[in-house]
Amino acid sequence: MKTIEEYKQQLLVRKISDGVVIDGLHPGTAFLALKLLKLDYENPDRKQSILPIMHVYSEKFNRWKDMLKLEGGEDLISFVEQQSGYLALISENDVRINCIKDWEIIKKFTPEIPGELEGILNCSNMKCVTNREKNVATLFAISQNGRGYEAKCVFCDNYMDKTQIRKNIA
Amino acid sequence: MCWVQIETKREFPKNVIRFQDYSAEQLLKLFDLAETIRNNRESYAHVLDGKVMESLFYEASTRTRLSSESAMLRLGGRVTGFSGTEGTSVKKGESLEDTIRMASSYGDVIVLRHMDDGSAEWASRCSKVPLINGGDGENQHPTQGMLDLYTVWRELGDISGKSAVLAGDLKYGRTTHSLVVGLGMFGARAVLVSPENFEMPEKYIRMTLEQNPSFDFVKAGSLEDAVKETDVLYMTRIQRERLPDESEYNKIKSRYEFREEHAEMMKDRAIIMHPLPKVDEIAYRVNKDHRAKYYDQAENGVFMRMAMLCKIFGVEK
Repeated sequence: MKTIEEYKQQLLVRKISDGVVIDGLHPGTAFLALKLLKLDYENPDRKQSILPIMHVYSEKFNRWKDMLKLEGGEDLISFVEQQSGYLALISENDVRINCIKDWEIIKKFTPEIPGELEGILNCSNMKCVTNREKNVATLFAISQNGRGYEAKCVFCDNYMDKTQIRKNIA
Repeated sequence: MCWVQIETKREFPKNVIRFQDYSAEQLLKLFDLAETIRNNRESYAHVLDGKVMESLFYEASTRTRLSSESAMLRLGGRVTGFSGTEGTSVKKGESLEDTIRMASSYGDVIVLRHMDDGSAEWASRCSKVPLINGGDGENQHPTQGMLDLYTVWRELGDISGKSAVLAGDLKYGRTTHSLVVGLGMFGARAVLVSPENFEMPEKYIRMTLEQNPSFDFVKAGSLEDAVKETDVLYMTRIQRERLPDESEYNKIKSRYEFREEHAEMMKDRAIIMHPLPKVDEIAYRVNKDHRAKYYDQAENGVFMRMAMLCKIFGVEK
């Protein structure tokens, strides 16, 4: 029988053998991150497990954080790698991606936000053509300034700051 | 010190969507061409023979539509299209994309006025032929901005270093959104005078500062203080429909009505402009003032749009 000390040493969620650990997400953003990744988690045929972990304290970073543990094969790893840039929208430079194979970390990186985002955000300007016409995919140019990332609608030139970006994830 | 962007940014844009797609040098060349056409109408009368303009106006327009169509006809081209969506498939729910795809196979150039912000950019991506933005929602009206600057350049000989008061509805008045970018581009000073809740949206100030980081602009509270030193007064209509009731409209109207006593305060060489239609914001008697240039401004629109069409079709003479 485990002692209290042994329980204290144990992780809240066990390690994964293969997949991706998305670490360092800002607290409260795990579900936004899942939304941004657009993982196909309603398909029972996909052999993947998704574990959102919210509001855990990191001794290493000395702050609260969210995490995602995504267990699956190599196709999951490459899919997350492709989509990972979007995660910088909500956690900027703090997010770390760890790709895991046979219990070992094979790749570690900080995702960089793409210069353009197509179909990822809604425009906060309700008079924008992307909100009024059917089947118009939104397109935003991303730039960085002193206040963090900013998205500019390519159609109506509406600017969205970090808070608006979070509110308008499609 | 005045700042003018002199380098050529790029080729003359195929589509006329937003003011900031142009450099000051490109605009000056356009104004020169408009002058050449004005003085040599006969030699430009057939340069667009065989070309067709699709004039698609989803919203009401008098000057933009008529002067665009007149410009095409004066260059030898022809015009088809609609004014208002009554009697078109738009009423049946046809998308903007489908209308534009269809129209771009009928015509060689499209002029579009549409009620949605950003509709011109979207339409240009759906079109096979060049597209001119005749006003997209509350966003921009680039050809109006160009003819406004053309008028300033023509009347005052220069734009750089001049001071312009933009007064009235600067929030919904899309002509001022394009004009402010143009003023900044040429190193002119802008004084913004508007009622509460009708201020210039921040994004257009930002766009102007992106073009010219030392853009000189101030916000002023009253028309009286602003008009004394200005070279250009640009009045716009307060849109009655944007206000909750008639009494609110009357209150604002009286504060932003330009009257003869205001004209008396202005410099003799200054000019008074208005994109039209005007309702109550300029007193009738001001029409006779030698500085009132709004009818010339409307006339200039035809030559500026003729020059624009020549540039789009690569007509060089």
